[in-house]
Amino acid sequence: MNRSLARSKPLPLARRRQATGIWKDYQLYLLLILPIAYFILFKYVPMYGAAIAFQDYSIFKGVTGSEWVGFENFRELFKMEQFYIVVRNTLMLNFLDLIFSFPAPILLALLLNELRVTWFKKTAQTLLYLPHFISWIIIGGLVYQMFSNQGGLVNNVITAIGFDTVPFLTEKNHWLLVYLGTGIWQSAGWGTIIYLAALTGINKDLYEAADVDGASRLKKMWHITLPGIRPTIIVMLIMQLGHIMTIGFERPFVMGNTLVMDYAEVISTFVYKAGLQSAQFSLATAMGLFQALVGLFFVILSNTIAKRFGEQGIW
Amino acid sequence: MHAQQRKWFAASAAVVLLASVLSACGNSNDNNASGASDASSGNAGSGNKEKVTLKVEVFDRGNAPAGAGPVTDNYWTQWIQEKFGDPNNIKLEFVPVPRNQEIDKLNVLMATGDAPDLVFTYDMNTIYNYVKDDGLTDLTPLIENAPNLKKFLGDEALNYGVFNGKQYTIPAKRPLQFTQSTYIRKDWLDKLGLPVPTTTEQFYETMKAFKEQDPGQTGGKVIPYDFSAIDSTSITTPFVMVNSFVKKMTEEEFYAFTTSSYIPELTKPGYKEGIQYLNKFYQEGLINPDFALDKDGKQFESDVANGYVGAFTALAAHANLMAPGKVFDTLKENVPGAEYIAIDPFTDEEGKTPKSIYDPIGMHIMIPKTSKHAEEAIKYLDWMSQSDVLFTLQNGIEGQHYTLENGFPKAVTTDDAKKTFYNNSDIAIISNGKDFGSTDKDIEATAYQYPGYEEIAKQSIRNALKDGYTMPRFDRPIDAEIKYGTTLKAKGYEIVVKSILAKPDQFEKIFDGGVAEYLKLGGQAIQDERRAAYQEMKK
Repeated sequence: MNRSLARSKPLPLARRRQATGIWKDYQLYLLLILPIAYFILFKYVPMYGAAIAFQDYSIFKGVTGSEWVGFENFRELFKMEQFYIVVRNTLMLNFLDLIFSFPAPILLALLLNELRVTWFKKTAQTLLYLPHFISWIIIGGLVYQMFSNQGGLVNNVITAIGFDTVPFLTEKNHWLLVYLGTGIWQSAGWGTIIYLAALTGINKDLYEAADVDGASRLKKMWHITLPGIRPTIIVMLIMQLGHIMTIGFERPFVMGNTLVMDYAEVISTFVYKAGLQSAQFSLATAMGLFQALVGLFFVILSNTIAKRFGEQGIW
Repeated sequence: MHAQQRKWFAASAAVVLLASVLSACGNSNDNNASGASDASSGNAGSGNKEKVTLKVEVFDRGNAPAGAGPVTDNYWTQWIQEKFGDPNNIKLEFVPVPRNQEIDKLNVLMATGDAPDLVFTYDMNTIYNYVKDDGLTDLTPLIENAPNLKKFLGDEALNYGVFNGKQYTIPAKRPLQFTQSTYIRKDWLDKLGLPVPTTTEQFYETMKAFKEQDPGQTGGKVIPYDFSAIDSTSITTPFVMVNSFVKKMTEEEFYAFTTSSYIPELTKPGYKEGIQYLNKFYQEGLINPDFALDKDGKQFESDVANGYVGAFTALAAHANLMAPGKVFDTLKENVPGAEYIAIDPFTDEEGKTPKSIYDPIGMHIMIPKTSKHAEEAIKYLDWMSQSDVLFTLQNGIEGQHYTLENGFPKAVTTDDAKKTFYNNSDIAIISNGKDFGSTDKDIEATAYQYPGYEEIAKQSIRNALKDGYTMPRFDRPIDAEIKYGTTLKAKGYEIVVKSILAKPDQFEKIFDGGVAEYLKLGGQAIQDERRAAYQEMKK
């Protein structure tokens, strides 16, 4: 940071040193008020609700009036067989997502980066972004139309060329493939944005130097482009790892069905069923709190590892 | 610079903490304040000077016709405001709740302390929870001032709303307790020269004939016997067939093995054979292999409307099928000559066709304890119970929404009528169905709602009532059911679906293994508690 400042004009540097602090840049701090207020209001204030996890919560008595029971809810939670199943499923689905969906936008960004025809690149980008804007409810409907056993588009083709129907949605392992594939299809295009932005930051001189040295396209990709976006990749990976216990509600809920509950019942759907549907708010909150703690653990862990390997980390 | 920044960071962190502390205080203050105003406005209410706002829950099924106005502001809300609100100095406000999320939304409304003055649900476990947590107004003294309401519901219905000796809910009356009937394509039967099936075995043979001979020329798309996902709120079910396999039990067993809240009754003797029979249907291609994916029942409706479906079991006389412009109408357009009739083929060991039917009540209407207008709420219900008011709410205005035929209101199907009459059964909350004094008359009257389908509507109701039995009742909630209900329901459905779709040699393993797991997850606890509650009751 100091270096970059030194490189800029020398005169204001001295002055800035004198008048640092809030007053100098008060406009910026004013702008900051909004996001800070957002975090206070919507992220910190609701945290008092976590107290429900330690109470025998009654919706009529509220957080202030309910009876405190210590770790009773957690004890009950850890006794439930279902708890281990939903945690396993959440970890499994997220881990597979990490393996398959995480590299997808990187690959896609690299490919897009190599495109030289501008109009084609722009069109491809736009088309790739589109799925991101489709709600999971609609995707669920599309998937059903495509992959159902009777009348599904894909199975119609498969049976037409003489093979047996593939139970894409009704057998759990096939369902897993569809689940992962849909995830990639939905998010890969949108995920490229951040990498494409990072790509523009790579110094063009490096490519020219490589050209002079006669490096092939693949070599340039491997030795310049990838290292160039490595910090971004690491940061994204840390964020992903932090979410390994957190799973969106809509995707497993919409795509799941009774037959694949062995895999599709995850923390978020469990919390919905236990909390909102059967009014066991304390149990559901305990689950949510547990999930947050494990998530925190993963973030710290991966950040530490990243720093060990000499990367920047997120703090 | 660094030190400065750090200082600022510390300051902002302090602000964060402070703010959260303050807001927590603010919350508790709020609670106190609302408690205080509760008392004061209660006093003011008896003075009857200020205009009070009465909030009433209303189901939103998302089916408002174009130009009709939402469920919160339409022809009928205005009518109620004019006839009831204005004379009593009450402003009515309708609070919409999506039909298929009613329990979630109700729980949230109750938790905020800002629930409508009149709420309702069908879900007994939710009601037990509210009673247990002391969240409802005791209505025992209040209904004494509601002579019309008491007279309309009668002691039998009202008794369903008594918990721990107090009237906590007002159950709506249900004049007709019917649930499901089976329907079959008459034109297909005629084409193949087959008789109307009257036993389960004949039904199976008929379905096989539908599959093999494809009388509808669907090009292999025929679904002889159709139903949609069984864990959904859709109108179809395979369980009438399954239940016909259930064997005779002692009364105690009947009380112990029955479950509430639609948990599959896996442990009833004979239930397994019923599921196995469905498995046979699946093996032979007689049911829709994708039924578990049809979570909202829309695929079922479209398959019926396209003429692919030979037979199905669904709620009798249901608007989704028979109302103008719905499934049966669409089918007639798509496949000229297509016609369904109502049948009742699933016979048990005694040759009867048993099915579970509703209690003589509908949903439970409640007044949350947070409500400041319990008196006005009861007044509203009492007003609604007057026979002329109820008749108008249920049937509309003569000439505009109905014409009298043989003394029964017959629906008018003009566009204007559709626009100003679409959610009246959700407005007239104190009655599930129309009450004309006798079962025959009630059936007749219901049929008039479905011009063009009067016969099938009547027959389906008669089928649905035949050999019907109601669920056993206890005088106290079964705690284990409240606790494990949701988990077990999901598990039970999973076992049923997997067993239906199992390979024949794996059926035993999947079903028996599933039941063992079900019992371990709380099924056994429910049975034990039910048995104990039964013995207590019989003492």
